[in-house]
Amino acid sequence: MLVLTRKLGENIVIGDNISIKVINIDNNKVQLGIQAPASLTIYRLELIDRVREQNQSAVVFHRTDLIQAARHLKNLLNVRF
Amino acid sequence: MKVVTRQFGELEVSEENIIHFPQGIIGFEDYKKFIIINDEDSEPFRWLISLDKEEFGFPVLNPLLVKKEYLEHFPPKLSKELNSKETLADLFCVVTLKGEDGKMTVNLKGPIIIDYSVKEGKQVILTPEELPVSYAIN
Repeated sequence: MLVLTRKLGENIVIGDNISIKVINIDNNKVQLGIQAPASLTIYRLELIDRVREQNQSAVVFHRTDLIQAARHLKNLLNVRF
Repeated sequence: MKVVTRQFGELEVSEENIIHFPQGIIGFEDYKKFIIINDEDSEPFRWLISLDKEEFGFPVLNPLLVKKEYLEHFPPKLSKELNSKETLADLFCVVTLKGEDGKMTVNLKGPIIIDYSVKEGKQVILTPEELPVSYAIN
């Protein structure tokens, strides 16, 4: 991993069109300003981790489990929504 | 082609029904080909089933059934993309079943968008705090 030290207000540039600026430093928090093409997705890593974990826990092996859940959901939809 | 699924046994799948996920699904980036199965007994759920791995399939649901104002949280770019596809696009959220009493959660944070005009799908991440990864349906 490349490790760079930057001061408040300084930038790093990645490739031709991505730049990251240190906007603010407060105790153990660093605020970053990122300029990048709109086509790039930028997420906090923990957000991706949470979606990944949820996808992994969603795997269902048995058709009957979903049929049962569908019955339950249909009741709820009639009652609540 | 014939595929073997854990949920439905052997299925005959025609090429035109295959949805390609160029980036895979988050956490399963190697699985690129899926089919959507509409099992009448499981409606309104659909099954999203991988053709790359036999045992991999999960239930998905149209999120508007459980969260009417869902689209209001979409960034303008994505809303525009969805609207421009009109009837050729589908929007699903991944469902996690919680035990036997019918409880479930819906992942409103990472919807799956399927564009039937090019037979491609992707999972996107929405950043608004109001959209939880585990939205409880009890």
